[in-house]
Amino acid sequence: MALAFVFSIFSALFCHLNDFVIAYGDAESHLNIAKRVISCLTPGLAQLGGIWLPLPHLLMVPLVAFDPLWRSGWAGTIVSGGAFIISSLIIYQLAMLILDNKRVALLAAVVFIANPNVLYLQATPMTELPLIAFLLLNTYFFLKFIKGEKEVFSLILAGFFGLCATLSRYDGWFLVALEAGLLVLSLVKRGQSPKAIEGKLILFATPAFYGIFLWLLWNFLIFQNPFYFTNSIFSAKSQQMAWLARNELPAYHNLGLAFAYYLTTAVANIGLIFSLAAGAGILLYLWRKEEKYRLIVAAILLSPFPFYLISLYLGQSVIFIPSLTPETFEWRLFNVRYGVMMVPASSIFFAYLFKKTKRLFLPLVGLFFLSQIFLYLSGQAEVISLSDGLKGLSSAKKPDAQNWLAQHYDRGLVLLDDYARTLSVIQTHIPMQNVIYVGTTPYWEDSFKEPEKYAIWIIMQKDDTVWRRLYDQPEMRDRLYKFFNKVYTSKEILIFKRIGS
Amino acid sequence: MQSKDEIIPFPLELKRRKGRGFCFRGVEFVHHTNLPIAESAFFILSPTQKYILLVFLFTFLLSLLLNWHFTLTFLIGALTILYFADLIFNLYLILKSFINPPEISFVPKEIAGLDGRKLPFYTIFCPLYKEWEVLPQFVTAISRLDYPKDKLQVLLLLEENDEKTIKVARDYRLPSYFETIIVPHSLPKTKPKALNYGLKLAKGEYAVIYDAEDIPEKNQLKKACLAFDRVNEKTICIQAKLNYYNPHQNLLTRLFTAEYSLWFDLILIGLQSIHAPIPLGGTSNHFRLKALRSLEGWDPFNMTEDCDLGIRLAKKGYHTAMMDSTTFEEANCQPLNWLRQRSRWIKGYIQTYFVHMRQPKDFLHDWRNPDILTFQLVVGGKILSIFINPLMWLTTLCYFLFRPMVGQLIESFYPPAIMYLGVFCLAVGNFLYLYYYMVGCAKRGYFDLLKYVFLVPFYWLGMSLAGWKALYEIAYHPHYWAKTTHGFHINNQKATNQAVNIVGQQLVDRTIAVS
Repeated sequence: MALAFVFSIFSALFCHLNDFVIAYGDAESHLNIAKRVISCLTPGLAQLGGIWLPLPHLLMVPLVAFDPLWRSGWAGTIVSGGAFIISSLIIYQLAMLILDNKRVALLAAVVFIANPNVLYLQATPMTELPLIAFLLLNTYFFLKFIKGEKEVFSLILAGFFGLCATLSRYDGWFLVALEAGLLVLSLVKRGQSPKAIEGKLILFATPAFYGIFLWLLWNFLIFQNPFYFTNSIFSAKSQQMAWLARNELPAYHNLGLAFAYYLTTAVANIGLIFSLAAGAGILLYLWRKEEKYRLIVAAILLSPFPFYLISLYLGQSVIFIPSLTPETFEWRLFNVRYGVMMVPASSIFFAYLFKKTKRLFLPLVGLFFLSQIFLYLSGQAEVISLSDGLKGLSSAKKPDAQNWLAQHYDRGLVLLDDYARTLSVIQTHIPMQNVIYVGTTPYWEDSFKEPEKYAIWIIMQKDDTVWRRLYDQPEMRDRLYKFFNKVYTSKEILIFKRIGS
Repeated sequence: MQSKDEIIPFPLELKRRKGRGFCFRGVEFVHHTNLPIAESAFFILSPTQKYILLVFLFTFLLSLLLNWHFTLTFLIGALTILYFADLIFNLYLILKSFINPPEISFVPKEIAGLDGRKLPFYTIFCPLYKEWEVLPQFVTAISRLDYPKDKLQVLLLLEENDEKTIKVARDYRLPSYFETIIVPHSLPKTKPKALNYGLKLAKGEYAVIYDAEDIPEKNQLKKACLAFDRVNEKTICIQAKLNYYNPHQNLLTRLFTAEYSLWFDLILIGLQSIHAPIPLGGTSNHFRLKALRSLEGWDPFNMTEDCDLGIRLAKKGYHTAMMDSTTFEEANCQPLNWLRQRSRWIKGYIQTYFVHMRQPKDFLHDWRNPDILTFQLVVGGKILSIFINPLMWLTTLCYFLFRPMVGQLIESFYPPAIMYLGVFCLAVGNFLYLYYYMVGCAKRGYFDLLKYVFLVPFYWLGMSLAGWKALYEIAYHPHYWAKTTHGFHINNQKATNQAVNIVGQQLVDRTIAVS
């Protein structure tokens, strides 16, 4: 735990000093969602929206209440960093449960802690680390139950952490569904009665699936559509269809490519050397019949893989990675951080290889670490999740308009299509409660009838909603110019300021 | 000159003839205890309490008149905070019951190693009223107790006017350690009054109460002896767990079993783990008889004399411990019978709450243990939630069903912080309260009952209905003991077979209980 804490702090400081924390556009979005719950023109839980699952944002809410923690991204760092430390501890416990060897369990934890992609993401407000923490906690207690240890309590806790995972990211939904199936199979194999199986399934599934039920209910109550998160124009699916229309969704309905993309992404996050070793570890683990629960253990630990396989195949998500994405594509680096979900499993299976080594343990482990480090230092491997944030499609745009507004913004409400990420609210120092965006009805809707009613500033990006509803409409454009001066012009972004303000 | 509202204790001659009691408004009450009236539920409210309630009511009405919106907002806020506190407290208890269960458990070797000759004399109280049908089962169950019979004193406490049960009991060839005690007819006509009568005749070092339909585990008395040896002298009560031998009789018994599993296997264990006062179960409380006498026995006017005694002993600085032994009872299978029973329990809880809040400082004998707080949550909170729940659910339903008409009005009563707390209690709290029932069933091994737990909200509605009935009764019939009818399982072959499965033996051994 001390090691995890030290690594976490150093990594966080490094990322903050180098301005890496809010490199991802999504990173600011996560911070802003949390901020809007408490500080917005129309604050409230409805600001959580209906696309991204709410738990990571809810965890950040008490922290983003402090402006410096919000603007610096430390609110996200604290949550992700806390999740990282918990994950490190649980990986050790989980590895002990599976491998029953302290030295090797420690190795699994160290491999996880030392992973540079994990270290980067744990410094950011992204949602991967909270999910990993909940997945690991869920897996740990689930396996404790399977092994017959403190049965009822373990199953309850597995259900509870499954609930947390389902409210963090959609990967959690797949995991609890898989576990429900594995639970039934395992109890049938143990020869338990149908009533006992039914009862234990209910005991696990009631909390585990309650989050899914709540999310569907939330979508229904707020957006009048329980599947708003997957059907709306803001959903990942809709975004992916735009890629499909451009013929840039390579894994869509292509299982082979989906497999290749996710495998490559996973390897890039784990590290080639560790991936090869972990692959050997998986095969060895599955081959050894004396490992009693090997199939269940492997299925749960490796569950992110089929999840992303299906997700890519169905077009629910997209990954671009240079080694596979054609050069003709506009972007060749996107969402590669998804591969980090395989790091916990790879850490444990890597460590498994060393279960029976004694004298050669340290030299061999050292060799693997040095080889992987060599790849990083020689440029043959990169911290790919960081690269995506700095130069991939995931990176936050930093238009010149942002710097201009940061220097010239003085006061007043700002009309802005935040979904289009025209520019950063955090970097421009606009108070969140001064932003009119799609989630601040009726300010938003009224502004497209009478733009002068609330806003002092109007910022629009070519073809975003504000542009289309004000600038592209001749009548509205006339009204715009009647009440506002154009104070900033660029190819993509226009900024207007209220006359006389 | 004595006023008609004065309590007039029996003079010595009358006390000798009839037992301890008093006259009030020309009516004789023979209660067989020295428990002061101030610690009894004869009066529901003390004069100070009446005054406080009147002041509160007046303030509330005045506040409503001056600013009804603010008043209701304040009230809703206070109730929401209380709900939240209760939710967190129960979660804490449940977790404690798992993480560090303090119940006293035993290994078979310990029990087998007990020397029967050195075991203490044990008194078993069994009050019966119009329960002749379950008498054979009770005699069988007690006869099967693994305890030297020459060290047992079983007192069947029968009411003088219960001629049928008296006749059946007399016609039985009861084992020699059974005594049939006829409790002279008097007011109040309650179980605790009968117990107080029996207390005078008890000879044991330890004593336990069993109801007529109870089937305790065979080695329960030995376990209790071991438990008393393990704990300090201040622990004067060992409570066994209660559960049912007819959980599958119908839907009501299933839900009742789930409730009991939660209460005895989780909540009470959790309370013990934080050294909180434990509201005793109606039966299977084992006492050090000397200490029980020093507490003046039971309050004959309290409908939950067990809960009252559990709180009273804690206030006097004594403790209760839970032990890992179960007594199986008959779960109420008939809705009206259940309603009668439940309204009596709620009435008793209301009585207990007001009795023990007469002198709140009595809770503060040990400043390290915030017993008064746990008492508020366990007893007071439980009562309040029974009445408030349906109103909150109704409000929630109206909000979603009639949102255009009443949505804004309802929202106006919930400032943001209270709104979030309320939503949390609604979404998380209700789920947790329901899930706790599942956890209780699972801990007990009743996995087949889990699916029925989804119907528990209807059970809660029934409890609320019983609560309103209890309020009526407390106003008009405060000391009326609505007797629960038992023995429905006897004529139900399916229920009997299930009971035999759970108990592990036939319920009635005709060679023991012979009429």
